Amino acid sequence: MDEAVMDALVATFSREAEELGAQLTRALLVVEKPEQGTDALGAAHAELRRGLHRLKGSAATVGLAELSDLAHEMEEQLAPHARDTALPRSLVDAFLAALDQGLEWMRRRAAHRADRPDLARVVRSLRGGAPAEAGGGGAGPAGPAPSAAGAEPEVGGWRVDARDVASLVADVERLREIALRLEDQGREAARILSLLPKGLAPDVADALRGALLAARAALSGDAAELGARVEAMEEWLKAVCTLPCETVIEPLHRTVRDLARQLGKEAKVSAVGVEVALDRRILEALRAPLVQLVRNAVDHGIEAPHVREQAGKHREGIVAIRVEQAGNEVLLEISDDGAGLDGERIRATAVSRGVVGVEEAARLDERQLAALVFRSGFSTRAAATGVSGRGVGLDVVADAVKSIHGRIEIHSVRGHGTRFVLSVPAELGSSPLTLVGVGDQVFGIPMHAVRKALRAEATRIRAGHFGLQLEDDGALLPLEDLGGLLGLRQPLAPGDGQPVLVVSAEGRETALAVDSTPGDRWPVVRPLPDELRHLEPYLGAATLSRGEPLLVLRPSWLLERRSAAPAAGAGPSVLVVDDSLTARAAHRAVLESAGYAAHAAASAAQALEHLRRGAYHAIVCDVDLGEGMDGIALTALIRGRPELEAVPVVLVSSHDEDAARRRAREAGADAFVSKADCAAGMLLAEIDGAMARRRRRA
Amino acid sequence: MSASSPRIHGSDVDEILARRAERARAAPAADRSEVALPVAEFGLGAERYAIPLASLRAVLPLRLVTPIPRAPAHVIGLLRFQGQLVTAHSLMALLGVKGWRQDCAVLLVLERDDGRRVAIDCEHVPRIDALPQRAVDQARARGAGPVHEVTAEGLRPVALLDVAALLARGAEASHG
Repeated sequence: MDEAVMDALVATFSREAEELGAQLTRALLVVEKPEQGTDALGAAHAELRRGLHRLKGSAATVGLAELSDLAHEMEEQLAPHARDTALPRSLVDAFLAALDQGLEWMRRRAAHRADRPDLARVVRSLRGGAPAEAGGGGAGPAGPAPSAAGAEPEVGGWRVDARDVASLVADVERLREIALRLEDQGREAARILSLLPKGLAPDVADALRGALLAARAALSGDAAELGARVEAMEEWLKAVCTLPCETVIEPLHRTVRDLARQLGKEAKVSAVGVEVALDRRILEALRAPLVQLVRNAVDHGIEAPHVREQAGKHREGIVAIRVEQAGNEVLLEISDDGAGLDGERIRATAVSRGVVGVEEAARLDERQLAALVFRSGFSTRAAATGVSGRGVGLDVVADAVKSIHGRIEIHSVRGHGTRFVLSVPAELGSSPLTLVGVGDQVFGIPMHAVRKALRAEATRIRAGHFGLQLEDDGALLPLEDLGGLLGLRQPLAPGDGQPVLVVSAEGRETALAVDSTPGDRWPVVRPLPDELRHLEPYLGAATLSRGEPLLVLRPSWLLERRSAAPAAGAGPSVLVVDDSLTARAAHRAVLESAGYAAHAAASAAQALEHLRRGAYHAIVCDVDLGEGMDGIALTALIRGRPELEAVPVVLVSSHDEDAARRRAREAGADAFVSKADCAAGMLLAEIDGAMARRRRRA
Repeated sequence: MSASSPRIHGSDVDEILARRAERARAAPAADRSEVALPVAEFGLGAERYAIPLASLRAVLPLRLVTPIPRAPAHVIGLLRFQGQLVTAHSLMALLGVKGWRQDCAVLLVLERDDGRRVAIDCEHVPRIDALPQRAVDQARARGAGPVHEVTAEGLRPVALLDVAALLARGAEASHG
């Protein structure tokens, strides 16, 4: 047979062999457990026989007699056993080892390597040491090689550089942005239509209206078609670039089984959600960390069978793996029902190994103690074994997860088990977001986390022990102001009719008061740049139609935080009013470094809204606020309000002229500082001085 | 032209122009052999700063920047540049606020050694200049840190920034 044809046949068969290997492994892991019951055992036996028969036949068909002989011998060894009983563990061990050898032989054969395992020896081992017959005696019939005409044609393909695929992904993302822009422009056309002046001549008005309607229809139509094409391309890219998590989780069944056997324990894997697809590169990066985590669960977590029974647990421990997609993140949870972390032992080990000092160790809480297991060199095992103890396991896991821009958390309950939660970005495809407005800023919340949207009613708001609560369908939910949670303003109870979203995550719910709900979008969400990725509130950022980034909030953060109301002993709060983003940042940096709490407003209108919501100790205000009321007028307005009598206003300006200073004084400003002189010390001195003067007057 | 002005012939004009060109080409003798570091130079308040031109990727108007609540004070916000999300930082906040002449109007997009991009704010579009390499090396040798005061004869002192070190210091301060 032509060598090229042979190679193609072997390559095709190699893929089939891997699938058969996985199928046979699954069946073997079932068939060794008598507690599975006759039905399950019967099905596993049938699976084994079918799989071995197919392996034997297919291997023979492509002339791979050694592999065919191995499969035949396994059939021979299986034959005497009843079809609804468990197989002896020693036989299952031997079969698994033989499969490993057979598959490795297959891989090396496909790669034209000469250093292949000696399958004849494996066959002899299965027989219990009897010498193999020449030609692999007892082997199944070596069928005739199929003719070229009868052979299944190899489907051609392309090798594509990963960078080219990444570039295509980026282009598809840009097309999605264009689709969003078209949608926006359609809405803009509708808005312009509503602005047509009333006094136009009828024929002119009709012509304009017709043209705008046509433009709106065309834009909307093009947006919809482009959106549909982009969606199709994204689905294709997902199919090309992703694989189901099952591909890396399936082998873990065997890993856990083998390790448990080695350690004299009993354990199995229970996995759900394995059909969730992830970028192949991320899956490959997760392969080793997942192996380490399940090995860790068996070695450190799950107890010996007799210990488990004494604790009232089932003899066999469970390593549970759960995969869930949440917006643009995939969560992989690996948990065991073992002994859980021993916090005090971790503390003592950390000190003895020099990971932390004695004083620092004494201050660590449970969560911080648990996080120590990710430190390099940390292990509570007194001596290294073949499995663990060298302290190079979980730190490598943490680094690997971090390298794919993921996060890892650990939770443990002593006596009940330990849970690792990995969250990794699922960057391909768009994520449906609900947009919410707070002041003049818009944020996205993953739509899957928004259970309900409603309007606040004063009659449904209660004052609870820890803050406000919303009555919803008979339940009381914590009620938070999103602006307060984000530290943008002082929190306030929502007014009647204000939008409220019920957000859920990890089995909990909260009600979130926002200023507006501009609608839903389906953008692509990307992780934040590395230097911002540690910011807890955010999952990432998407791009809106004009090109500005939209921050996407992390639902679990929304639930765990309470509003940032000033705590007792916190510094004075200052309102900074400036239309310049960079000036606001500079003032904030100065104030916060001196212990003040700072909120910012970009306009006089926003400043007045802040003052309506809460009290401030001082106001720092730019004279020139762009459009609308300037700082002088705002100062005069503030000075006209008796309730703000004690609040000094320090005006800041790029223009240091006598006329400006005079106007500031006349408006009632307490101080005037030019931006050129706005060194940190100077501004703080002016604020302190102004506050002191106001206090003396009061 | 007044009646008393001398007449200038075409060849005289050529000679004048040739001499002017020669003067414009000629650098001070001491600089002719000096290697120079091209920089982008800008003012911040009363101070002058420079960054190596090789790291400058773009100068953008300061717009379409999304503020990030709960970010450290030196982070102005997030912007999108050539398909990437880029963090914008306040140079004033990183260096310590010492006053400024006008509110920053531009962002300088810089590329770090690791290929990642960051942006810093700036009062105005920087001008391109060159610093004597020897003076730069002396400034860097005088001490570690993100700011190196470069001085040389005939040169106004300018602070050469190591932006990566400055950002690292800012990040450390905010995590600490």
